[in-house]
Amino acid sequence: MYRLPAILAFALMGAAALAAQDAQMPPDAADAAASEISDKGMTGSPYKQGDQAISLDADASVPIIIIGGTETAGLSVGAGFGFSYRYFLDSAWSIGGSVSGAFNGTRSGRSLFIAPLAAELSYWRALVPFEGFATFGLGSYISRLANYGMIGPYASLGLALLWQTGSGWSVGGKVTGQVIPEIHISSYSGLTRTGLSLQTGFIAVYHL
Amino acid sequence: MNKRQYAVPLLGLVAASLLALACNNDYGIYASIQEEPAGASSGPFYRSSVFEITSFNLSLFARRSTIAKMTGGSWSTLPVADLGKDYSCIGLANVADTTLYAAIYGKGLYSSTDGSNWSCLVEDASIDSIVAANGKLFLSDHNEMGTPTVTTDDQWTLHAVTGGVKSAALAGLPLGSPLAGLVHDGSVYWAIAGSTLYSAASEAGPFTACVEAGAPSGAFSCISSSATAGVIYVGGATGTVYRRSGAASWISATASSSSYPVEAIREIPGATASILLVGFGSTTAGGGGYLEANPLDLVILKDRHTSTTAVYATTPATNYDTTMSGRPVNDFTYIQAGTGGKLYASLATAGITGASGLYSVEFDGTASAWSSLGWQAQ
Repeated sequence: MYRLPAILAFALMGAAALAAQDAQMPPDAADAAASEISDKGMTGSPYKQGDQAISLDADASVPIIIIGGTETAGLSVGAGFGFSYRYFLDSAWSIGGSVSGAFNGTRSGRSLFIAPLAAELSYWRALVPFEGFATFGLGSYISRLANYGMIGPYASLGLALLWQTGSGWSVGGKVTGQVIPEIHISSYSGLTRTGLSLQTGFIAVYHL
Repeated sequence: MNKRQYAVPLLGLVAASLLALACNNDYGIYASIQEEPAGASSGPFYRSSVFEITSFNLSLFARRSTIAKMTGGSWSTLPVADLGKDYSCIGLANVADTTLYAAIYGKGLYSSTDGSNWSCLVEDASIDSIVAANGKLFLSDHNEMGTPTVTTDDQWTLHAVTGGVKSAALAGLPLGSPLAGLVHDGSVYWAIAGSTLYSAASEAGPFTACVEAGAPSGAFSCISSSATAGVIYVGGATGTVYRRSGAASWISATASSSSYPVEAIREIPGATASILLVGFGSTTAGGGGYLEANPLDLVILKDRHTSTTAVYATTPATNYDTTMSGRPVNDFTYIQAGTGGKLYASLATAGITGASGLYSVEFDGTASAWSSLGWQAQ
């Protein structure tokens, strides 16, 4: 329960640092920086409209809480993965999509699998050779437990901090908070719950 | 539009339909996780199905493939007479708290007066099951008929065992299906086999098929008696629970899905009123659990998902109640002590990683006062 505030605070600190770098830079300098991605210490974003990037990540899936019901949750930390594609609208903003998945064990040994599919909007900043982005995702998920499945809406908010290796690759860490509502209708509405979880781990971004 | 223009929306519609079919509105995934009992990684019942438990001579006895006995808080496997620990127990019955009987596959009927020392009472390799009712022991034989590899042409006979002697087949039978249960309601014996409910005024029979108005129909899976004279419960293989009052009137309630066969029914005393536990399995893998209902009208008393009241028969607010980790419930046993007691749930967990076949929970006698510790693996 105490992991969430700590991780969010860390993520916000990273985002604030990147934003502060951007705020100190005049608009012209930001544009110039976008075209010179190899300069060490350059701030702003090294990307321009039409750039593309794909990323892979391997994560730990950390269940935070299940909202609703009267009893405690019983999920353990599991493993997750993700793949995403991003298209840059300008030097700072990109749109794209992601597919991810995570397995978490239950108290009695069952395995919960959740696979979200989301459209994502990302905001990029860089302090070469470092860069980072914040992402907001919206989509849907499919979940499976034993032979039962559910589909529902999905939202996420994430942050990644990366180091540019200089060969088109950037590697680093990411953390994504996920909101996973399980909505039941009609006479089964009493089963409605909302799961909150974090996926945090290693991410590798390749700039096409 | 040409064919290609139709293809995309059509494929999208098919994909959406498939996704919708994969969605179980009547099963709460997160809700079932919230109420799961803790799993087990070891113990005497780890990955081992338990079919029933009974108390005898101040000890507990659990029937899995062998008999486990709890002594001093720990379980051990019992050796049976000259069979040692290499045997297969297919029935366990406590008769009048004086004798514990065990049916051993391929061997016969064994008895013990202390729960530790066993002797062979009846050598009979055809014993199919045993059951105790009204201080009497009944034994069902499986009689191979017709084609040896076909069971649909076989017969099962029912016998009373008195003074260690097996009677002739009781009148009114044989059964066309295995005996699924037999109880005594205070004045009448009731037995189920296949899709027939039988009754008899005496343990000697004759047993006749029940033709009362509103009597159960379809395939039956379990039967249970009540502390109230004249009341019995019958569980159906397609999710229906039947209750018969002493006035020969029947009521029934049907589960939200016919794929939930009722496997166990147990009425346990509460502080102000009894509570009915209905355990179920599933015709698909990964299903099982139980609910708590009012025995008088089969209305759900305790909804472990939502804490709201719902009518079991017509507007199920949830799927069946507590999921027991998705394991079918074979039996409930309640050991009363004062106003409360301990409830045991025997589960089908053979080969399931992380699951125990026997769980227990403290219960103080009220509908909402289960131990906060929840179900604990034995």
